[in-house]
Amino acid sequence: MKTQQLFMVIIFILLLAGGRLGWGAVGCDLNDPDRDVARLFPESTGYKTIYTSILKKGGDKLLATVEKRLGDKFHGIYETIDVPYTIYEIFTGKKKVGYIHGVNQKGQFGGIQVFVVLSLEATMRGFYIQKMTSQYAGKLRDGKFGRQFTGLGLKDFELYDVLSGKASGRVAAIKNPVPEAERDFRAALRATKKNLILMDEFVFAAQPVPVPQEAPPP
Amino acid sequence: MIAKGQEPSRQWKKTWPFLTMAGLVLSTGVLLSLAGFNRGCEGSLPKDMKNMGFPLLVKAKGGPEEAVILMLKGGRGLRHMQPLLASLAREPEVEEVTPILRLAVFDPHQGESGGIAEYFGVEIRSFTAWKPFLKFRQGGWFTGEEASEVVMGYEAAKLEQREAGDLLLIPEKNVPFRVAGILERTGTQDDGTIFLPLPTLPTVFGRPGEITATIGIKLKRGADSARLEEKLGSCLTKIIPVSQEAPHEDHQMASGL
Repeated sequence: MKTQQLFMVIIFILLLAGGRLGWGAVGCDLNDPDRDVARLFPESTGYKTIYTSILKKGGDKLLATVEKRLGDKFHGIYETIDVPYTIYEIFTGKKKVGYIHGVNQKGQFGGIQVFVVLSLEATMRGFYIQKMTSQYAGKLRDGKFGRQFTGLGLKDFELYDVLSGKASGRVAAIKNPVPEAERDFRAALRATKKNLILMDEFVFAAQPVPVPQEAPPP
Repeated sequence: MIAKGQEPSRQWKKTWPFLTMAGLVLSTGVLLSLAGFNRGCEGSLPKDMKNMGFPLLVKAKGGPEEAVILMLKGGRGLRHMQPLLASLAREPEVEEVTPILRLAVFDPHQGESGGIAEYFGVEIRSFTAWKPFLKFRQGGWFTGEEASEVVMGYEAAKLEQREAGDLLLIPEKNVPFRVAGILERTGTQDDGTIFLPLPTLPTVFGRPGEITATIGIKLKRGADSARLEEKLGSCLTKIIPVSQEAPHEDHQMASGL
């Protein structure tokens, strides 16, 4: 009976504490998830929302890993270890078909919210700037600019240096539609690289590596 | 399950007190949670109203809500109250007035459908005296009454990822402003607000000199607020009380057109 009582007390405390666990910084969510998921993943029939953070997933060690892979430190008062991230798992029926994930990025004149639409193989099948405060936001949010990211993945962005802005491989082929908005263009690329690294750490690295199937004997 | 007339099993006898207790704990938790929610609402509403600085709001008679006008007309179409501001300051009940201007732009680059970005023009001297609870996380107030600077509420700064010294662009107008300061979180509407110096804001919107859409009023100790409310109510305004507290010494009210 004593064990039962103790158990009850623990449940009671957890219940009371539950109301206080919701406090935290606001992350980067889709403004209208139902509409946005359907638009970004036309074949989807549903989605599941997962909330996570670097603090929850690995703390300082994970932050150091992310910064090393990004090639840059997290800056300022908003890019911190406890920023919550929202991952949308996309389903067609019961079958998972991909992910949508967004990050905040500091732009020249305001905040930028960059979402990537990923296949299960972590390849970008879409790119969406949800918000941008810039005189040239229209051109950087245009579908023509976003389509340049289709088919790219983290391996491509690993060849992009976020500090110097120098790129090789397929990322180098991404054209800035507005030379005057170079800082926001580079901010969008940094956000994309950070986004892909976070997705790799949060989702893809945690999944078992598929074992290559041996060819059946003739 | 126990069928009628059947003796409860030993396992069931062990389980039912646990389920009963779990039910009691859960229902107590829900009850406490609801009670806390109610208490929080009751407590925070007057606090929010008080932190607005005005126990009364005064709107134009017969006019639609200010926000609707702002949205429909993109920040234009408001009647401005320069003459009323001067006459209010001369009223015997009035100790001090603070003019406030709210203007908005449509920002097409917020999501798929765009959004409204709203700006508050305030007179630093009187406004800051009325809101002493506003503390800065970074920086401070504008360096001058006509400075090209903004002060951002906590949430507004977070959304725009701004820090003191950064630049912030007003969409549509494409005018950059230096961020003079970021406020600490207050839990009020100020968290989502972007403040500009009062004379600067209408200039950006191409309406220099049209200074205000709202006037906050601080009454003298022992002043007859009813008389002033009656007077305001008769000059194209309607008065909306936003506080349940009876007006008393040092109370403030707002007049908006």
